[in-house]
Amino acid sequence: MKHKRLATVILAMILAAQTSAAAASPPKIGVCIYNAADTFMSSVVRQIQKEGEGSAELTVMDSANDQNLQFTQVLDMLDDGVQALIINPVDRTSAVYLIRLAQSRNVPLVLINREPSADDLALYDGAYYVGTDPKETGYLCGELVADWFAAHPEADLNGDGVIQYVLLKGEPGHQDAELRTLYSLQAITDAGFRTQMLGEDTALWERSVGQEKMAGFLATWGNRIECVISNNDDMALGAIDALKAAGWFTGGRYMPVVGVDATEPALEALRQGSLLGTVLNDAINQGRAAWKLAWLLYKREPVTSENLGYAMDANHRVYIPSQKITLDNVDTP
Amino acid sequence: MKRPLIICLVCLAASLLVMFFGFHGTPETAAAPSRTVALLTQADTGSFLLQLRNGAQAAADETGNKLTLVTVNVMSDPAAQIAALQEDGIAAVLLYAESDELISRVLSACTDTGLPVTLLDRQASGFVSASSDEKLAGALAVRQAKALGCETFVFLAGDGVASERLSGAADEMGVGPAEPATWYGWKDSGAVVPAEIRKNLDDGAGVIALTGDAVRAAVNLLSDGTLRAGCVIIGVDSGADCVPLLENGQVNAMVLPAPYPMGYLGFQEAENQLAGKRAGVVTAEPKLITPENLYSAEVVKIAFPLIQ
Amino acid sequence: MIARLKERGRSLNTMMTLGMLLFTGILLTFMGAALVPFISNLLSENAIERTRETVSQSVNVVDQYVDSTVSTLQFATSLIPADPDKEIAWHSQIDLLARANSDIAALAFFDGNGDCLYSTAGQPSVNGTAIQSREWFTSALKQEGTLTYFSMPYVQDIFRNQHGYVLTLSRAVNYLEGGDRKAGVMLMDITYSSFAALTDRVKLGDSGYTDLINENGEMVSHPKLQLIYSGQASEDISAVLSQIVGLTRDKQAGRERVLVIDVINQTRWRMVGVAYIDEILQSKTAFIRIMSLVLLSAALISLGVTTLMAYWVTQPITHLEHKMRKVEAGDLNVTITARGFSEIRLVATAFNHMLTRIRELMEQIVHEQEAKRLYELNALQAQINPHFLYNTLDSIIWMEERGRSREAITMVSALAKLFRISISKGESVIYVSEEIEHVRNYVIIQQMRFQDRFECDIQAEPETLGERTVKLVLQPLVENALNHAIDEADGSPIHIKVRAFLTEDELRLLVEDDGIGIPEDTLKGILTRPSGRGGIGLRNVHERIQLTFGKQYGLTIESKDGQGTRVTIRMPREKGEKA
Repeated sequence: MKHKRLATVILAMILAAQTSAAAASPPKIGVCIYNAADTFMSSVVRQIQKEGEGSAELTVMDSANDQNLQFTQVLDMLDDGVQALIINPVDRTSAVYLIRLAQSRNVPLVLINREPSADDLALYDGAYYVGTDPKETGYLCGELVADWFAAHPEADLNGDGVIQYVLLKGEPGHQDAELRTLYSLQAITDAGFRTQMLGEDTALWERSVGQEKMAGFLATWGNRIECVISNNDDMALGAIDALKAAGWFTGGRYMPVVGVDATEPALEALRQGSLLGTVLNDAINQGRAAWKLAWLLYKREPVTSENLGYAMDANHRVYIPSQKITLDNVDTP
Repeated sequence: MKRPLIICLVCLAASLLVMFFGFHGTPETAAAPSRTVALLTQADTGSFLLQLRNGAQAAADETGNKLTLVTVNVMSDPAAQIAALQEDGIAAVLLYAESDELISRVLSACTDTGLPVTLLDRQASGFVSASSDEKLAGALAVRQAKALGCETFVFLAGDGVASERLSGAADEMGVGPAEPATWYGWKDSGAVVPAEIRKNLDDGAGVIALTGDAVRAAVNLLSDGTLRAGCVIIGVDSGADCVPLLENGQVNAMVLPAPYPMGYLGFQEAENQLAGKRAGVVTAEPKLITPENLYSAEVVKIAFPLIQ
Repeated sequence: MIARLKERGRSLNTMMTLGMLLFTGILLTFMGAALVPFISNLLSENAIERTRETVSQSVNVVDQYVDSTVSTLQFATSLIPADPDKEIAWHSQIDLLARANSDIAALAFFDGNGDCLYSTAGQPSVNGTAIQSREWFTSALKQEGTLTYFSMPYVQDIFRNQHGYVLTLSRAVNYLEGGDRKAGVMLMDITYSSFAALTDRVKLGDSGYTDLINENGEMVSHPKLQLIYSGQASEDISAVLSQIVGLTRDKQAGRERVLVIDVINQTRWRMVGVAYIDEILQSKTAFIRIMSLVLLSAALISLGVTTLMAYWVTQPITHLEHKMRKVEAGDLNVTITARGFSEIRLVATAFNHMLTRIRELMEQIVHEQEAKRLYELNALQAQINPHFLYNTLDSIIWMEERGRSREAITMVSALAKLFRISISKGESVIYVSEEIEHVRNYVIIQQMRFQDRFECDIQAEPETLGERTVKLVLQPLVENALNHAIDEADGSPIHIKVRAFLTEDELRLLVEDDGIGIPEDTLKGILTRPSGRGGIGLRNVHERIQLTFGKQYGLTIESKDGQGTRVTIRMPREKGEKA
């Protein structure tokens, strides 16, 4: 008889330990970054990790620019029992399969920075997107140029009333590349200026390629270039490298160069006076919003702009607002 | 006393047997030798032939056998050619030809030499063949006409394959062969449409043309006003020549044979004959082509057989 | 029955056989249960991994093709100037582009209204609103130039008299015309055959292949596409649709297949690699087969060898045991042939030696027993020496007849005492006092018979009287002395001394005479040579003493020819050391 009691007590203790373990163990959340070499995305993911520390067990994987590798990683995470996914897809169009996969396993999915089509996002109730509105960032970028030319009429070198520009585009296929280009030019024309494109090429978001392309532009058009518009900071800095090599930014020679992202090196260039302006691509808030969204979804709470703290549109998209950064406000947080 | 020795020897012998039969007992499944089948045709060009050949080649690829194309004509002695082919090691023959005489000569030559032969796109009693299901062709035409709203039908028919299509159409309609209004006299240009046929046409019957010529005739009737504008015309043909008429909207739909599966099935029947299995008369389903599916990948090899 | 089995179970043979079988059994089971599944798992994982890699490579090929095609299209779009209507340099540029790339069937640019501004395939037969309703047009515009639209394969009908079996890629082109943002669509048709060639040739095992399907499961390309369309073949994609991406398995037409599903970037397509498990796992199947054969073979060999070995070890032991039973039953003449392993041989040889030794000892015992019997018999005989008895009785009668009754009485009582002691209730060992008494009586009798012929002086130390001695040892010696002395004497009486005394560890009885002595050569063999006279003799006494007390005791004879003889009887003393 006393054996029976002892056994019951032990059993109860084991059960209690297990349930408390289950309750106490933090939820698993899977995060994939399309390529750890991308400095901007790395800072977004770092922010997510910071936000999630202590609340969840975050698994962060580098998809090394290989969409199929990312699928393998996501499948592994799903098998591991993640309760939410934060994925930065390698290929926008293949995001439809990420959405379908998450849907089939009933796991909420937050896509970041590379935007799938609205139709794809609509396939699954638990699919959300956090990023920036490329139209907005492009528009603000263009405003930087318009503001400059408005304040400095002498920047129109040949005085023809037309802004001759060269443009460095981001990776073809990335929604930001095309739309930032479009809307930055739109902003300039909206401000009443006329534009003439001298050269436009893709520098794949990269500084070294930006430098290469800029050198090419300089070789072809040299002094006729009145401003350089870049879809991101890295390429803008590359352009500045090329310009410096060709003698600009010394002895009073100035070229207005604008970019997008507001990365640290860009802010430094801004302070130094080589970069005219940039648009804040808010890595911190993107990371924070992505985390909050994932957390709410994991808790199965209804997601609204209110309880998220960020504006979300009807298509489950959260666009983090951007702002222009110039010498005036570069040092304000 | 000697028992343990016996046991030991028995065990050793058994183990040797196991090893021996285990390693040598599974014979490598000898690959069946590759046979060559010849596709005999009159002309080595033509879109229908091209797809027939592709289909036969697909069947050949599946089993590791080979296909080769050989032209025959009535001028050179088909019998001699058959004999030569057999000497060359051809195991069986597929025959696709227009000329009845050539066909009968080749068939008799094959029977004489014992070379298995499979007819393509034709049927002949006593011979293995792969052809189009003509009855189904007729039925499909009637179905489509019904789907487009026709309740009565006028058939432009003929002999031979057209009569088969007609019987299929009649079965689909559920009436005897004599009942649907059928006009056999349309071949002559300038032929006058009989009164009863004309009456049917005025009442809004759908026109089902059961041969390529009939289709062209129907289109002419439409353009010269005999057929009222907006009349439904469904064509049944043996080739893709009338597809432009469909593209232009002069015809509402076409039912065409599928040469690719025909060639595929024909080759398989030839293989069956070689393997001593049962081989008989097989058919490939014709396809209904409408403006909706005309450009789709599914019918591309049927409607546009020359496309690569 | 059970007892018999238990008995057999305890045998060395059984234990050895079972032990070795157990050992090999464990070994084989370990191999079969642990090693074989482990390795065969490795083989199958390996095979599947190889399949995945082949599909991966194929995906790379298609990815690169798609990439270069999209780049070409983007390049074409970049050629569109701000005012494409007025500036027409781009016409020849895209012509060049189309001609440089044999896969391009057509390249055309349409404005927002669906009107074609230029096409490399000639003016389309369709314009305006008819174009605007086409999917490639609407989808391209929807993406605002950020994505390329990929169509399913179909027949392009918009170009007059040109029917191409193509895939259409389209992309929106944004251009600013006098400040107005406009969007047009660039169309590029790629021939389907050049595309299908990329995937239709891939081989996965003997029957495996790859195909491309879109997000809805529609076939983009398949090695048996035409057969599928004409109903002669089928492809079951339910497993693909449920797995979405990754690795899965299904069964078609009774054969198990492994499906590798990878995505092709930019197209929303997936490549499905189909491999037949029985083909890719051939090495695993072969391995399992071989291992099974080897293990089975090994089991049989071990069984055979074990049986034989156990037999070889235990058979000599059984043989030994069998022979020992015979010995146990009483047959001492058994010889064991030494057979088998060396340890057993040693045992057999030793056993044989032991048996031989036993036989020898037993024979010895038998001889000794016989000798003893003989001596006892002799002694018994001697107890009643007829001659002596006749002579003595004669003497008694003679004395009686001469009226010397007192002497007669002495002689009769001496005789009586003599015989009493002789018989001594059958004991062979008596007190020295009794032996002295015996010889004294003898001497008394003999002295009456042979007056003046001899003198006998008997002295025994008092401490010897309680000692034990073999009986009838003094009298024969005295008799012997008398016989020789009387036979050969020249008339002078001989003097015989009888003494009994103790040495440190011996009891000594001495008979000494001064007769003629024993010649040296007679002396030598006197204790061993059989006595010629019958009667007891020195040898008899010597051997009786030795039989009773051991070989270190007995008679010692000293004699000098003509001077006398001294015979010393040595026997062990019983009582403790002389104080």
